[in-house]
Amino acid sequence: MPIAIAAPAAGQSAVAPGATAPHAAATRHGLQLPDVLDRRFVVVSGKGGVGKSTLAAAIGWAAASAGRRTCIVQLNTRDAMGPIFLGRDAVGYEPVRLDPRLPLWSVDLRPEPALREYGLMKLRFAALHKIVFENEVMRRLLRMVPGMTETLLLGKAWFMEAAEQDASGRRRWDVLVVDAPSTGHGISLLRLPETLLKVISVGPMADDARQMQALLVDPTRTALHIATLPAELPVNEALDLAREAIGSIGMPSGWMIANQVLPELVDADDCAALRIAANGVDDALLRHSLDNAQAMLRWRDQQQAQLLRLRQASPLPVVEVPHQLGPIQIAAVRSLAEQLCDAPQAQLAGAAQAAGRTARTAPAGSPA
Amino acid sequence: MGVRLAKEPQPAAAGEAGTGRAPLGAAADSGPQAASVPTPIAAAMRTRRVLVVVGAGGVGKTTLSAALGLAASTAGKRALVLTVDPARRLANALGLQAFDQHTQVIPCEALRAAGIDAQVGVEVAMLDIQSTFDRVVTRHVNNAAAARAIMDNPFYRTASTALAGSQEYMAIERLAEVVASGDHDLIVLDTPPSAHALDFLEAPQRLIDLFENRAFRALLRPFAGQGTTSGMFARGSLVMRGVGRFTSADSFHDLLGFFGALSGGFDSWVARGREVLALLRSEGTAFLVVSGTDDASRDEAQYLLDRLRQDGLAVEAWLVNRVATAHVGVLGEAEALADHIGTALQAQTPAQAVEGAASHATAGDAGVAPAVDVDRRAERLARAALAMARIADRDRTLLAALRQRRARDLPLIAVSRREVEPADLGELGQLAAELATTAALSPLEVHR
Ligand SMILES: Nc1ncnc2c1ncn2[C@@H]1O[C@H](COP(=O)(O)OP(=O)(O)O)[C@@H](O)[C@H]1O
Ligand SMILES: Nc1ncnc2c1ncn2[C@@H]1O[C@H](COP(=O)(O)OP(=O)(O)O)[C@@H](O)[C@H]1O
Ligand SMILES: [Mg+2]
Ligand SMILES: [Mg+2]
Repeated sequence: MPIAIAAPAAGQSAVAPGATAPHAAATRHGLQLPDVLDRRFVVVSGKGGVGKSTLAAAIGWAAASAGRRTCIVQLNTRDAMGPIFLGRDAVGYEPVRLDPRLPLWSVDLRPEPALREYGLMKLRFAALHKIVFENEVMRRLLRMVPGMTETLLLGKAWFMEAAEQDASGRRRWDVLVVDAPSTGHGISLLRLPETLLKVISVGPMADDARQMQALLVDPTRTALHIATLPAELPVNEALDLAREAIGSIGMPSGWMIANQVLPELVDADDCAALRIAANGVDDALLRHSLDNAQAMLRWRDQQQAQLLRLRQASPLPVVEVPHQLGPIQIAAVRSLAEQLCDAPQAQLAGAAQAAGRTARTAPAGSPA
Repeated sequence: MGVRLAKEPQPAAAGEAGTGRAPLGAAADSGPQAASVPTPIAAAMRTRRVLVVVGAGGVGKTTLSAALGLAASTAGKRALVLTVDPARRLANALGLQAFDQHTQVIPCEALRAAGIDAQVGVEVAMLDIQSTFDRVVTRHVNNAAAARAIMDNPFYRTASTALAGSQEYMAIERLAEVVASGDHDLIVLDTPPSAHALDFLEAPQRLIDLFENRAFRALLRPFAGQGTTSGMFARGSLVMRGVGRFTSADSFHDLLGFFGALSGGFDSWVARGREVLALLRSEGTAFLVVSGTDDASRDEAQYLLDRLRQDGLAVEAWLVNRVATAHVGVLGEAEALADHIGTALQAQTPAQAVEGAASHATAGDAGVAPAVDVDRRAERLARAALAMARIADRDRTLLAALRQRRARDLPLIAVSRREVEPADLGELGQLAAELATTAALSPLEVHR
């Protein structure tokens, strides 16, 4: 598949700054970028280990392929994007380009530099910053302030969305894909503006908190995607998260992305036929093939049972992406991105028809 | 099915010997001497009082912590599993109600009824930050007025549970409480899912750093009702004018009021923090590092291991969880395997043909076997068998690399991926049995 060499400069992307695409945008791979992936602030959360980072990488890759200047925002964690795209830990507080051919970057936000950046921005003078923040007492105090880390991380992500500009004064980012922390910490992060406002109701920080809150619930800019695995505990946790984040906080719903779904390779009749053929024959290869095929069938059956449960209970449309056998590097991410852009139309339409509940399962603002 | 934990450790029972079932290396290499060496988990149960389970999110920390508690019970140890927001179903299996911080006892009989060869009951407690925080405040602040000032402070209730690292701090605070109670032979601490998995080790240090700082304590006195504000926190000071660019002076003084109210207890907080750090460093405590078989969680485990050792903390073993156990012997050309299977499907013995006809009959076609394309069927079977083998092979490759690098200085334990998620007592019991009887993988030489 050909990949164009030049990346667009800031502001050259298909979408004017501040506007959301009126319809799905075409990626340079001929993919249609679905509306819920084409928001300025795309948040991915879910239970630990279900594939949040991998899916954030895929969503970021898809957006960048559509020409959006995209930044995958990691929140104070071990860098997951460097290993996927560059084969090594590479991403820090400053944006690092993940693919020389695409407008795709990533940052890993840390509270200390975020505090410094925020401090300098508000105080304007390094000398004043030094007096206020760079003394032993303030340093130690701020590390212990309730919610400080979350405020700085979410605040910086919001700032990147709302105000960050490049040297020529253009909006720096079209799309931010936030690789959010797993469920528990994710929820406290998403509830942060609300919590802050309970404690502080006046002053600049309160104003910022109000704007952060407005961003989190704005369906023209934001979508929350929940990653899960087709397994019992992850499905439970995904449903809990949907209830909290969509139901209670009021975040605009993206997709429930079921990751690592096994393909249907064999059916029960296939296994039965082999079981009969292998019966009484002294052939280890046959016996082991049978064991493996049956194990695969049981695994897939369990997954399908959990997917059914997920589809029945999820307030978000369920989109499936496959289990990748190879290493999770750029090829796998690209294939996941393609599945996310392609499969949903069919999957969502099929699911909606089958369930007869189009209204609830259609993604907000999805192309008809 | 009854699960018995052998009193004598057995070599890793990962599969039938000689079938090429991954991760067979364990059983084959551990050799005859394995029988006389206790398995790492059995040894840990014997020598440690506290086991701290760490690893990336989703690797199975909570599940394995629960299983370790059950394994302790079969070894006759009174164990407490201290867990952090367990999945609801797992909580139910362990007799926990959501949001209930009280310790629950799973009685010995209940464990036995689930097929576990339990000797004593197991206690399970879920960490509740708010109630632990409340208890801590009342303990450290032994003055009713100060305690009330804390409870009335706007930061408390709304934000105390979000106190930077508070979940982490409370986890080990709770650990110190239960260790001090002396009621248990073994405490298993399931660590919170945090961005930085070692936050919970750093939390007490951060607290000590602040509460011990003399300048801070002096500046805070007015906020504990002693004297009037002066210095950098006084209204109108340069610092406060700077702070005003961020938030109102009132809000900032509320924050200082919160710490001011706590300040009467600073010394006991600091003492407790030191106690906890000492406990983590003591002989009786060891860490279990858990990973999956993927690169991301392996790298995280490696990082944790390095950090723990740098800090002088004891790491008992590395558990590689969810290792696929399919037969890898079938690996090879897909076409060759499909041919082999196809031939077998075609060349049926008369007895097999009868069985086949019977099974088709039950499928509803009244004796008429539906026309199946045998070649296509053989292809599908081969692909499925190979896909499972590849997954197992990938896991085996990762294990082999780990064995080359790590097994010499650290017991490496492969825990098999269960077909059913271990979320009820019976399944957790089986996992416990596997943990207790699995020998460490032996080091793997690099052949040149
Ligand atoms: N579709 C997939 N197929 C195969 N492996 C996957 C897939 N998605 C994620 N993984 C692997 O699963 C592990 C956890 O994924 P990750 O994205 O790091 O999860 P999280 O960010 O939710 O903790 C990683 O090792 C990743 O490579
Ligand atoms: N050995 C195992 N075999 C199969 N599934 C497992 C195993 N260990 C854990 N799991 C499953 O893996 C998922 C993550 O486990 P969990 O204990 O919640 O991880 P953590 O506490 O590290 O986030 C759960 O769905 C759990 O049922
Ligand atoms: Mg991640
Ligand atoms: Mg857990």
